[in-house]
Amino acid sequence: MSIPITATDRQQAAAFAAQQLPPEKAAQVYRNTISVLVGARYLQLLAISSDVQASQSWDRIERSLKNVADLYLPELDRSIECRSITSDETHCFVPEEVQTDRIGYLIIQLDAPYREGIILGFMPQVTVTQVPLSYVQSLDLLIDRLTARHLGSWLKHKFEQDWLPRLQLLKPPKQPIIQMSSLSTIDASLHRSIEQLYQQAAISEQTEIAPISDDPVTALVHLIQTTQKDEIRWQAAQLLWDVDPDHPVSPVISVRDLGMYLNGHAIALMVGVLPKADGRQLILLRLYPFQAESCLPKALKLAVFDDQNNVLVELESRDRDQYIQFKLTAEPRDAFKVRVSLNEASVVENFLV
Amino acid sequence: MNNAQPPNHSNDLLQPLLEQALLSSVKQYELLQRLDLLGDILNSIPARRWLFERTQTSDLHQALKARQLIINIMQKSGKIWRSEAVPEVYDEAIARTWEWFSNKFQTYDPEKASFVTWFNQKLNYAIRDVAREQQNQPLPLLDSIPDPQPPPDALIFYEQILDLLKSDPGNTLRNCRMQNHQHVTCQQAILAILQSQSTSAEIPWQALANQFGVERNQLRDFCNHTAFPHFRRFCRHNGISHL
Repeated sequence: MSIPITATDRQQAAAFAAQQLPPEKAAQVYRNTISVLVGARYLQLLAISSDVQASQSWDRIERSLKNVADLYLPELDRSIECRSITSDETHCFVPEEVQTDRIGYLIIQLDAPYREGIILGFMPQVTVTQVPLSYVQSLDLLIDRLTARHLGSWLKHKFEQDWLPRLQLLKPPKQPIIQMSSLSTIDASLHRSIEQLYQQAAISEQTEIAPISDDPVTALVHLIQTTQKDEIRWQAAQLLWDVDPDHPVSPVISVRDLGMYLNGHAIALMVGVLPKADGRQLILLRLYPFQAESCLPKALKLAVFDDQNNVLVELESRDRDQYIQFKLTAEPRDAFKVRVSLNEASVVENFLV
Repeated sequence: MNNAQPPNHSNDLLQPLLEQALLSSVKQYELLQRLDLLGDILNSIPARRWLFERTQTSDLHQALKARQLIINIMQKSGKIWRSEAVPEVYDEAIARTWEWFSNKFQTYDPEKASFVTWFNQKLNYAIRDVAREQQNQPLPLLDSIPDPQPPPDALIFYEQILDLLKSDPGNTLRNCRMQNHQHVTCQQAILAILQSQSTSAEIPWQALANQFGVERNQLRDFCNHTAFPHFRRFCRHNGISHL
């Protein structure tokens, strides 16, 4: 993709370059500035706003110290790095000081006299300073990243507009606790569930049943933090979420109404995130009906793909299934993709851990 | 269907090709090499209507992919007008036209014109506008590449920074130390980086790590997460402009 560079862009780059003493440093700042402006123009074509003023590359002190060509994307609260390469180079130089804290790397071919920049592709991560051009991936991957849901932000209770946790959708199947009317029955049922979880934990870990606190929150937090079984951890976490969704140990759960993508079927995709002590995250994906429908339509498919588009799992609802779900454990910065489809209709969501 | 010029390839063929191009970057690449097909897509009302509708879905992911495909088709078709105008005028005009294209995209009507025709009409006006403005206020010329002699301002800034670094009011920079390697301070790290610039525009991470007797990654993480942000705040606090 070709992006024009204007005289004003070149003037801006020359002004930044003129602030540098060593000529090599001035040349570096010149190219970096042009590169960032090209990146901003490209993103603008996709209607994605960026803010050069809030970027390190627009800060005189930062660019005097580092070789930086970042572009801040306010809607994502993340930065993209715009690295340039000339047409006779086979490797793109990505300095170590910009190899962290980026949503990814836009690779831009720039040659004198700087009348256009060619967007060559995108890389989500860089771990070497000389990146062979053959490693550069398609711009489709950039779109995946730009539209990905950032589970890290969810953990800070920042949700995208269409993923705001909406209580009316949060009705997990067979959820007796919400339907119970009197407080005492809720308590009794909760205590029973907790006891059962402690028993399961004891059986699977071949230990004695641990002493159970009278306070359900304390009992659940203890189980979440000590059990070796992710399945039990999830069940305990969901109970805790029902009692106290704002508790620091509670998972973050959000739901999206997929109705408009699936021919009007009232189906919700629920995503739950539960951080583990080792820095990894347990992620629960569940499809279930809401409103009047009590079970899923038959042959509803849930497919999960990894970063390289390999299928991790493909599930299909059978007759009268109340929900289908999949749990995965993810490392920080992992990316995965979820596709929900029903006959010809489908919707894709990208997630970034 | 009231096509004035029926395309060579029927829409039955074009739409599956477009669908594939949206699903696979390899298929998209193949399609973009086929000039004949790109011309047919631009000329086919159903094809461009189908593409435009894809950009209007509330599924942002699908909408962006379709939008990117449209721009790729326009650029690869070779039909975007290239004028004989002065390069500075053309660059400014085409940049403005893409900006307009992006902002006004919602108002495009696939029934009336192809994406490129719509674009070229605006480009034509933009070139005239820029040329007219140029007469009153000339654009900076292409060869205004940085002057090899840095202006005095650059020298003053550099000396200001060095003075401030060395004097370190309040010992702010000396007291910011690398964890587990207390002998490495923010002051030393920044000073070493600035001094290294007289020989190379790149930070010599390995040489600096050797000089400080620490691991390269440790030094880099210290600079990225602690020393650089600390120094930036320090400069602001001491009245050094970041502009």
